[in-house]
Amino acid sequence: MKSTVVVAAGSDRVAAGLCRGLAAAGDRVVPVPLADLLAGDVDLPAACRERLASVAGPRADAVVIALAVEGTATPPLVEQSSGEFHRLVERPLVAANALTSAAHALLAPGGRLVYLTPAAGLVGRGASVAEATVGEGVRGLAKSAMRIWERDGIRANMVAVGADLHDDADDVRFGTYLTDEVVPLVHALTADRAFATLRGQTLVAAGVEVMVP
Amino acid sequence: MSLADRCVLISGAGAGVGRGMALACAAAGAHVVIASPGENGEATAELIRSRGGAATWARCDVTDADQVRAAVATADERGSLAAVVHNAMARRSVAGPLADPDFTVLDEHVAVTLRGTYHLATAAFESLRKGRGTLILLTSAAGLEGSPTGAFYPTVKAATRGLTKSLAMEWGPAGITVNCMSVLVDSAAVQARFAREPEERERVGRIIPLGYLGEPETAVGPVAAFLCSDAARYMTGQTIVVDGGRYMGL
Repeated sequence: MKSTVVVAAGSDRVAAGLCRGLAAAGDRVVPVPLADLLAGDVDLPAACRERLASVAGPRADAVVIALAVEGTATPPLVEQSSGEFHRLVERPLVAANALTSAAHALLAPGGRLVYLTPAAGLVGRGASVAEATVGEGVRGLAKSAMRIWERDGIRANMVAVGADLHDDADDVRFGTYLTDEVVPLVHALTADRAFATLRGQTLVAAGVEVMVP
Repeated sequence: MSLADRCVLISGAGAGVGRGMALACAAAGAHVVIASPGENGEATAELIRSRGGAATWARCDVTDADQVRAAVATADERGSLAAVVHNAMARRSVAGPLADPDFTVLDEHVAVTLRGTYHLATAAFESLRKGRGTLILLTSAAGLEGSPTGAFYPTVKAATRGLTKSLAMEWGPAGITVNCMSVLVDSAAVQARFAREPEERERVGRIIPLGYLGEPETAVGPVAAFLCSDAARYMTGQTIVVDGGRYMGL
């Protein structure tokens, strides 16, 4: 039987690529677009919960959350307005928490949560303060969700991705990277029984860019 | 290690870890600006002065950009700004079950920890650049390994580490270092948690290899003073763990 995988992403391009890849891998995929919610000024916790409930249906086997992996070019921190900081850092972190909370209602015991996070958060990257801040924040959230919901049988893990998913990556490189390197790990974390032994772990899909100590 | 003729601004230094850092930096010779929203900021400043040190209280809520700018201006008047230490944290920590939490608690954590960092960083950048200074942020074990009791605090404390690393790269060419500290010491916040969860006291005692909770002034303060000094000039983008050996995963 096909697994139902909900894909909630801040970037339409990343969402589309993930959905295509996971569908090709045999999953039934439900996309949950978030770009409009992140760009607006709606109450994110309520809006994320409502969107997830309305799009995803009553049950899912896995929920994939991908925020801040598109690496939108941002000015240095000291040149950012408070509004930009709010949009680039604060709202994605609130959205990640809201989606995580709402995901619990969809997941039965054995359900999987998979977060895509930017590898920039692991090792830092110049001109990427917002991306790294959100990335590491999401990893702290994911590890906590794992600890809290372990008793519910839920597994939460992460895939750290490189700059080939960025907005400015060319289509060929983006597609190849997503298909060959990212989707297989996401699919394994959402469906592979062997990967159910992983709890709160970060799999790094960033070539030799990142090798954490 | 001396901080003579240097100024150090510390947020949330009216009590606990921040006060311990302030006392240690003052003992190393710094003029310490206590950036604190409450009157306990003046109490810390008075304690430092009573010991022969130099300190000024600047009433400052880090979520208010104007108050942060005013606190930095106060520091600039007192000497070369060597360091900004962002220690302040949100008062509320209990948000309810993760599946249905009180998101206003997350708003407070984001405002104090992350927006506060943004306000301090943008307000102090020019002063720190002139003085080849340092920005020190506070993370925690929850930010490193998550927490079984809630996700909001770990979210912002983990985010702080990502911010530290990338800002260290961004500010390196300007001669400013950026580091963060993960600390576990006896503080009001820890005592409040023990009161809320009595089993935590025994658990914490069990998981600290050194077997005790350090005092803010003597366990964490000297490390903060070191990071504020020229002796630490070649360190940037790092997380320094000061917790009696509680976390060894880095």
